[in-house]
Order: sequence, then C-alpha cells, then structure tokens
Amino acid sequence: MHLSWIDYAILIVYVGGTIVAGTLARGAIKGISDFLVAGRGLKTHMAVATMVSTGLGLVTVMYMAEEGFKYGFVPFIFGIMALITSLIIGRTGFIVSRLRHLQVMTVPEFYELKYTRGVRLLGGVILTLAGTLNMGLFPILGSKFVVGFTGLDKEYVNYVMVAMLVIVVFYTLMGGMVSVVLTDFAQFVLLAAGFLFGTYIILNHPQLGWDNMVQAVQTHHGDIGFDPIANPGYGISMILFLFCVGLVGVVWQPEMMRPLSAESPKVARRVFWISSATVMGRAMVPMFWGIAAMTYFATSNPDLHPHYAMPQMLGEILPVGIAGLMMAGMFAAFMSTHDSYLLAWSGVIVRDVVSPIKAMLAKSGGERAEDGTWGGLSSEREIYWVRAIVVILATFLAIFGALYQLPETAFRFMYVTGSIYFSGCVGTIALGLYWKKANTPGAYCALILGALVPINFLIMTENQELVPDFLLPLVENSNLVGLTSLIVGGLAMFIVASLTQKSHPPRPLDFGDME
Amino acid sequence: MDVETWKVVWKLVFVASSIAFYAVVIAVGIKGFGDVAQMLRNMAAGRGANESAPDSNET
Repeated sequence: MHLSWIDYAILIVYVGGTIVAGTLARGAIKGISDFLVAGRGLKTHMAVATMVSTGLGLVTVMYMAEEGFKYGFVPFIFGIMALITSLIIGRTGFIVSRLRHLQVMTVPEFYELKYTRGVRLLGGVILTLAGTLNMGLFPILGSKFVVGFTGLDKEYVNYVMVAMLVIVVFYTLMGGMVSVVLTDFAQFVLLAAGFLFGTYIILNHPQLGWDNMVQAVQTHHGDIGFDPIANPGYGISMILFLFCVGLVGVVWQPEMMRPLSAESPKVARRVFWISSATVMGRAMVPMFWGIAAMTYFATSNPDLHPHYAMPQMLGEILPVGIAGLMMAGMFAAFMSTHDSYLLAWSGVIVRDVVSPIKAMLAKSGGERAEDGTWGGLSSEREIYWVRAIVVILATFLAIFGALYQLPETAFRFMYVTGSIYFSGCVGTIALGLYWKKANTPGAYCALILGALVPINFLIMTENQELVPDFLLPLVENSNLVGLTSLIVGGLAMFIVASLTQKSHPPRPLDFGDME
Repeated sequence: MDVETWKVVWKLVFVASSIAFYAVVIAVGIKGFGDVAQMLRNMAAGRGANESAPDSNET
C-alpha cells in the first residue's frame, strides 16, 4: 500500500460530507424538474463548475492519460480542437441557446417538439444504447485508478468498482441533479488542487521533469510522438473528426443537462464561453501525467498496463496528505461523472422511452404540461422510475466493466460509442434547429443510418475474419468510422427531407423572442 | 513543421492551457461558492434548492 492513514482519513471525510449533502438534497426535490435539471435555476458560475466537472471525470483522466502514455505529446491536439469548438459554441450559442429556449429537459424531447413522438422514442432508444455502452468502461477504469494508486492487489479491482458504484447510486438516488451539482462543485475545487500539486511534483521529480519526458517520448515513439499529422493513429481524419464531434458533441445528454439547467439561454451560452478556457487544461494535464508515467516506468517496468501506470506513479511520488487530497479529488471526479451520467441516461429512458410508450398506449395528446410531463407518467412516477433505472444501470455497468475487453484504447471506444448518437444529431438536431426544411422522414433516416456505421464497427471489430477487404480500413481506423457516420447522418436528413417536403411538411419552431 | 518546432509548440500550449485552467478555477470557485452556500442554506431550511439565490454575477 502506498498511502498512509492521513490520506485515508481525508478520503473518508470527503465521502462522509457528500453523503450528508446528498441526504440534505433529498428535501429540496419537489418535482421532476428539480430532480433532472435542478429546477432550471443554475447560476453562471455554479453551472460552469458543474459542467467542467462533468467533462473531467476520473474516467476522462484515465483515458486521456492512456493516450499520453501510448502516443506521447500528439494527443495534445485534442485539447486544441476542444478549445476551438468551445469558443465557437460560447460565442454563437450554436445549438445550446436554441435548445435551452425550447425548455426541454432531455435532448430527445426536442424530437417531439420538432418532429413526432415516434422520432422521440427512436431517438431515446438510440441515445440510451449509445449512452450506456459509452459509460460501460467508466466504473472499471475508476476502480483501476484506485487499485493502482493505493497499491492494492489487482484481484480486488471488481470489488472496489462495486463499492464505489454503491456510494454513487445512494447519493444520486437521494437528490438527483441537486446532488450532482453539489458533488460537481466539490470535485471542481478538489481536482483542480490535485492537478496543480500533481503536475508540480512531476515537473520537479528527478526522474521526470519536462526535458526527461520529451527525451523519453523521442526514444520510445520517435518523431511521431510529437507530430499529430504524421502519427498514423491520429492524422487529418482524427483532427477533422475531433472538430466535428466537438461541435455536435454538445448534444450529449450529460453535457447538455448543464445548459438546460441554466436559468436562461444567455446564461447557457455564457457557461460555454467561460468553460472554454478550461478545455485544453482538462485534456492536457492528464495526458501529461500519462507521458510522465511512461517515462517513470520506461526502464523499471516497461510492460505495465497504461491503466495502472499513471495511478501507480502518482501513488508512489506524491507525499502524505497530498496523496489523500488527490484520492479525494479523484473519488469526487468518479462520483460527479457517474451521478451525472446515471441521472442523464435514466432520465432519457424514463422520459423518452417509457413515458412516450405509455402515452401512446393511452392515446394521450402530445402537449407538454406545466409540470414538464408529456401525458405518459406523472411527475412523481417519473422520479420513481428514474431512481429504479439508476439502480438497474449501475448493475449493468458493474457486469459490463468486469467482462468487456477493449478493442483499442478507452479514448477511441468512448468516441465510437458516442458516434452512435452524435451522427444522427447532425441531421436531427443541428439541421432541425437551423434548417427550416428538416422533417420527420429525414429525422428517422438520419438517426438510423447515422447509428448503423459505428454499431457495424463494434460488431466488425469482434469478427474481423468475416469483414470484406474493402471495409477493412473502417475496422482498422476508428477515426474514419466516426467521420463517416457524421457525414452519413447529415446527408440522410438533407436528402430525404428535400425529397419529402410535400408529403411531410416540416413543423416550424419560433425563436423570435430568444435572448 | 519539423519535430523541434512541435516540441516548442507543445510546451507553450501546455503552459498556456494550465494558466487558463487554474485562472478559471480560482475565479469560478470564489464566485460560485456563494451560490453553493445559498443552495445548502435553502436545503437545510427545507426550501427548493434554487429559491432566492441571486446570481453571483449580480452581487
């Protein structure tokens, strides 16, 4: 074990404090709007803190570090692309302001406003599939961090994962989005302090430091450890994909819940503008740690898996007290991402799959009531079912994390599974909000065709011997899969909607009085 | 660009991104603390989480 009792005491104080706050939050929940979007009352700075925290979970730290460990400085390009897309969204309010103006709680609700209840149902199913697959690796990666950091035996990794999930589920069930906001704020402060101390110690460690790390990357990767264009794992296709997915990625439900929880479209846009200053650091600091881990173990343990290397290095080099702070920060990062995602996907399953089916069976109208429900489940029943599905999802995650083997790096798995949903969003949401001709048949085609490309990739990677030669580039390069699926989703809406304008006239949306 | 230029670029980008990150964390942490304290006070009093919570921008 690398840590002392002081480090564990810091962790226990943090976990105890969050459980008390979660219990307090239970009393603040008056309806589904409080539970899912914190009553749509988030102020600018709290919204920024919670959005930055969701984008910087423990899983993010792990997979960004893995990229740095495997590819050297090249993944830094991700931070630059994220900065560019965040600035564009923050400046223009692209997608964010209009969705907030429409007062939806989940992204598929937009499908019912713009298209039909059927499109919402399909969108909800696809988002659920993409979201739960995407989240599949979160708990196991978080657990690997704890095991590597504390020096526990690797055989405990599944037990640690279950224990961490139980705490998160309890906390989320108590206070919903209100709980999420509170843990996010704690994580925001704790993890930033951990980032600062961790980076300072790495830069001043005799084996590490900037120059030693540059030398190690040069020795192990050569020039392609620095040049993103020349690196075969990155290149132009990856850079283009990162730019496109950065723009439409804003509709990812856990990310979008922050702008949707903001008190106005103007605040929603401002949240992106302020948080854009953090996106490069959020990506590059963990990548830098990954490079440091590769340097640290280059001679002593070169075969160490990257998932364990970075946490093990931190556990060994951080002094007593700082290690405890880092552990609490990382546990907060684990909690804040899991509670956000569990809440987001459970909200989508209940509001965009279960409730519409009930409303369809009851043949109720498609109007939104004052309490935010749509004629299916009541507000109280929605909260009940969201809580039940949080538990079911957490159980699924524990099983998936223990059994699934990664095809590439965790980073690429996240992007390919995210593309199952993102690709349909180009047509259904981006064009739906900004192109007057977007209609229902176009939305169905965009959702289905956009999702098929990445789903095929996941199936083909598991059965490569059955794949014809002309499709092999798609199996070998996940960047091409992501880019192709985005183009297919956009083109499907454009072509089909253009051909069906007379038979299916588009439903207009009014943004005339938007701030 | 040759590899030596890339090395300089990544060092500058890393320093700039770190400064921007910590600057925003400090600013948002200080201003957002008031919002969080208000939210906790409301919850302890049994009110809705966001009742009577002025934006820290306006205070």
